[in-house]
Amino acid sequence: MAIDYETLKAWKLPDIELDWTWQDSALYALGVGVGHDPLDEDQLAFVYEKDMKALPTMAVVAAAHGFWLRDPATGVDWKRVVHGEEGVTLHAPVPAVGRFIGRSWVEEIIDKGEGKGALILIKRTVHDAASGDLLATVRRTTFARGDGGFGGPAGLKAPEPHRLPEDRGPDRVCDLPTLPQQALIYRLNGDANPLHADPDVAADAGFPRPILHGLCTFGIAGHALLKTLCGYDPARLKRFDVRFSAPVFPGETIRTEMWVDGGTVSFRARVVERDVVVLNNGLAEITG
Amino acid sequence: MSRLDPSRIAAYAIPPYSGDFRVRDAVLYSLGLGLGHDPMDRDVLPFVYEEWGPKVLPSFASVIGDPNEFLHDPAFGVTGFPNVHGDQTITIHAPIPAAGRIASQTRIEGLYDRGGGSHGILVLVEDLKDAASGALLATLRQTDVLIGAGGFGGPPPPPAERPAMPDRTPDAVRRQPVAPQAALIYRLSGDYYRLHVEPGYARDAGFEGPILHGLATYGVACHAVVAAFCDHVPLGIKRFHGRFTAPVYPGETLETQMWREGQSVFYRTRVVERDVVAIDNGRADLGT
Repeated sequence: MAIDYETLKAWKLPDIELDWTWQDSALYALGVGVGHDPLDEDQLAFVYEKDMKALPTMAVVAAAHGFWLRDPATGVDWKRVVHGEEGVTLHAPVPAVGRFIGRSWVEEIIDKGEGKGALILIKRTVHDAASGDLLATVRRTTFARGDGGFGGPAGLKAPEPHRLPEDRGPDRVCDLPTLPQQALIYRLNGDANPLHADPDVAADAGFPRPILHGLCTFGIAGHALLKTLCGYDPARLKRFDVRFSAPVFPGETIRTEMWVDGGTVSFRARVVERDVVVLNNGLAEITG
Repeated sequence: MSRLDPSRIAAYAIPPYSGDFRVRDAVLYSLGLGLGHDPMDRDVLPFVYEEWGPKVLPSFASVIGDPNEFLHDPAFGVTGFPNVHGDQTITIHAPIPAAGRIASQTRIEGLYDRGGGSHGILVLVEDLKDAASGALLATLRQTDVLIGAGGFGGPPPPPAERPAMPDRTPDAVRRQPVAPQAALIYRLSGDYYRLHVEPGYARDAGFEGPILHGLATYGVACHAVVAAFCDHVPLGIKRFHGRFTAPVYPGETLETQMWREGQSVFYRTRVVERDVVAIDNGRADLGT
């Protein structure tokens, strides 16, 4: 079954409303490797319930919809989808404890042509249930490798990726470690895709071992910016967009390379051990 | 430091406990022990990846019962003394499920005095029952060492269970690395004592930094016995005892040395880097 443009475009996802505990916030932070230096009080602030802060990138998992493209009625060949891009705009600091409302919809589906796959653009808002305030807008591009040529409208083009400065090397660099069991911890945030835990499923997908969640690497790079450029003040990060370019294996070291132009930060991330760029075309906005 | 008042402790009504636990809690517990550090180890994955299990260690019983919050209630009267675990015994009456609801009542078996300038010893016993059926699952017995609380006029502690290790090379040895953030992960299983997270508090209590929960080391030892002598089947242990002899710092490596004698396994667990014994006089009784 192929994608039907009108059906998928109008796909209805129920709002998700749920309580978020400090334990959920701590588990998210631990899932992206925060706390690897347990004596660093800047990191402890995100995992210890006393005066707790939340990582801004937590918005991508708070009140998130599961892997709904797995529903056969979407027409998507879900086994061949990969996470293309993720971006979050922070309208207000994400609280570490609260009640969130997540609302998702399909923004656009772009047919790249037979054999070239399709892009599914999904948007999600995260609201604070108590105040009604909009906290974050999350933009996700899923690359459906098996769904090109489904007959989507002509003339739709994916937005151009953000270009990194080419006139100079990165202004700042930050290395952060991951644990060999990092994916096993991260998955407890709600991403149950067996690709990240089951060696056999990973092998079927062509990987020598389970790979780290793209959104985990996303959170690690977010940590790098928070640490290097924001003095660990989550309120200073306003926007954080990346394109996923290669898988990470748990246990590898993530080097985030940053170019700072006023409040605009361009960045990418690479695995130090294999010298492979895993996040690219990164764009962040910071204040203060 | 105030003086321990045994009459206050005797008069304190410990509230009954009831609480749910989920499969995710079982997985999080095992990750808190550091299991999954080799994510390709197919024998260990069922403890940390529920779709291959979930396998549940008998020591999981130590985190599904009463978190003993009364110990942090000033009215109980021990908050003025840092509290470390003395020893722990779990007796298994029925297989510990990965999810369920517990009803239990903690009671004080004894309050002992090691004398002025030394410590107080509090012995707590808890029967864990399945809330639905009333079936007895496990009995927990723990001693808490109240540092510096001795000299309140209580009776001396009775002799502790201290089986000697056989005088020969261990029959089995198993190593388990403890991640730097292990205590931060383990504490999400419900022991939120700040000794395991707050560097300043830990230093004031006389430690170099936050220490790993004694029960985390205990769980590591329990897994070592299950791996070495029970063919990775956690149901093989009926009773598990250990005495805590030195703190473990997250980031160190634990080595459990085991001797089989009939239906018992004697063990001790040492910190490889500092060559100190963290659990001594350990004993596991096998059987199904």
